[in-house]
Amino acid sequence: MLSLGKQLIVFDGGMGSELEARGLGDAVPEELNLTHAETVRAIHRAYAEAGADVITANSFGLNRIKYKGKYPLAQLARAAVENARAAGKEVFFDVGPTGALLAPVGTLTFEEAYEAFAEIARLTSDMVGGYIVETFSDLYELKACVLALKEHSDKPVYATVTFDKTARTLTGSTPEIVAELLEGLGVDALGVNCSLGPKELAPIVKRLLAATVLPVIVQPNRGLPKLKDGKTYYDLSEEAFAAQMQQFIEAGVAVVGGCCGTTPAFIARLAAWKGRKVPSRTLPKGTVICSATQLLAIDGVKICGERLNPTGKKQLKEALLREDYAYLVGEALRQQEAGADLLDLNVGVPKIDEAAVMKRAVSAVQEYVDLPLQIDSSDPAAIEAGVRCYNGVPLINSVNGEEEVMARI
Amino acid sequence: MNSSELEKAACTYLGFYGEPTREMRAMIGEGLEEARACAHFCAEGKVFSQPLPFLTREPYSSFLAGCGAYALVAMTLGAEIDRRIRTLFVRDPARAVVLDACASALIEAEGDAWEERFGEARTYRFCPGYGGSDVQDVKEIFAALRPEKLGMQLLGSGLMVPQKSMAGVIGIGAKRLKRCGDCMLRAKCTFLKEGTRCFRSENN
Repeated sequence: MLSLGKQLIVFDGGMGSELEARGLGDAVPEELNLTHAETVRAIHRAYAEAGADVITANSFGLNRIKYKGKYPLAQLARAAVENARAAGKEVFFDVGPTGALLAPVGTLTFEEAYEAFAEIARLTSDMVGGYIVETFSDLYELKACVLALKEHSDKPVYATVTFDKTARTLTGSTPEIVAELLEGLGVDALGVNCSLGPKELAPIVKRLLAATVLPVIVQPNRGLPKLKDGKTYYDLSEEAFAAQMQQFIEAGVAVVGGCCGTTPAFIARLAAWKGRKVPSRTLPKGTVICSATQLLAIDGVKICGERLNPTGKKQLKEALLREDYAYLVGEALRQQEAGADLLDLNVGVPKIDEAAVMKRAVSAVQEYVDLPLQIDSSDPAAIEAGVRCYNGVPLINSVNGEEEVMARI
Repeated sequence: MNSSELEKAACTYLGFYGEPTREMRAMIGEGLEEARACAHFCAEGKVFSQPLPFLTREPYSSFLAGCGAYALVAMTLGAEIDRRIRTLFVRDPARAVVLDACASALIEAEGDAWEERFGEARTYRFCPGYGGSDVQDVKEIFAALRPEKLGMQLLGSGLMVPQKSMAGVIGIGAKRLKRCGDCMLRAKCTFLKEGTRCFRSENN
């Protein structure tokens, strides 16, 4: 049993770099679970022997959107898990992103992404000890993934994201925003993987530790990649890697491992601290909401734009009846320009399908306006529809404060 | 590229010939500032010594003649600037068009600076679509580089997203600057008629 948050847990290191070292860098890694099972098992065993508590299955690209090869997903997933199990340690299924961009930037819908991850959960939930969601760089896709896993499995879900050196994900989310979203989705642990080397991750790790009391995971690359003769390589020493990781561990990081370029020797260094007590952390409790790119702490008087509430607004009522979302976007932008800190969104007009309209309204507004939203309705179904498709953590309005009502919501 | 070169490039993308007015220059100045603030340039490249099959065809094979190696490159300004341009089109289309042009100028400049790592003796960046080549060849570059980790994606139509993205090939070992002779539009080119160029050269 893993003692998450109490004693340090050590994950394994890079799989891709180990495969490349064995001359298998050009293959589709997940297919190697079938074609070169013994090699994959050997890598897993090496990490186990180096002291890893958890072995991550070789399954990073296994979802129906990313994987377009000839083998059935189910067959590859089972092989990946069985290979990982052969190392005799706890096995977590590695869940990587779809490789596609979600709408509106790309064309993949939230529902399509959700379904792809739900499929993985259905195929693997009774085979694994947990899930580690890795290397996501878009908050919306991360939400689709974690929601799908949580709604189709009761196994632990750990989630780590990649940041650039300005501490933002590819689509502009900060560590605080990521932490807020993942906490809201009920993950067991959260953190950062890949991206950069341990030294470069230090400011990001510090911010994560200050943003959440959940156990924090850090799995860096072996430093920054270098280019020589057209090939990428990593050359950070074990000592330098371990020294920085020690600082993270002392600061309260609960789960450590390695990503690209790390080897069993690097994990052996981390294993020296295995089982070490994780220092407890307390943080001041506050109310924080966010969009994908803006965080708002409700720590004083904030201005909530209320013009997207149809009560007493004939034009808005008519716009909602004809589903003129451009009108809503216009109102939202005007309120943003006028200085609103957050925006209320209420689509409660008689005779409309409030949940469906709420969903479309949230999608339209969040495409253009990055202020955090307040989902406003007296209909729980409409609240759920709005909150579910919101790319962030919203405020919820129009729940009366009675315990029974709050509990239902 | 310095500010005045970027401004010139932005004018080109706006289809604006001749001297920009003061108002135009102010708009472009603001556009460049905004573009710089929300652009997050990142790029990926791989050097090859043997050409991939699609590069043995014209016009690539002539373009790469004399080069001992070549690099496939992919780069983007990221999703945020795309979003900013899209939002601005709803609020202020004139500024949006200017921001769009500034972003194009910026990615070209950032790309040129990033490519200096391939050495002095190199060609300019030749992107699928240039010189009569097939735009769909960008699929080959994506397959070789897998730039999804940069947040880039290729749609079925061949369009890259985010929109401020580029992918192409650079020949290494022979210097080759952009020239009108390589361009399929030269017969009808307005820039040529005005005595100028769409690209930076000694003439402009």
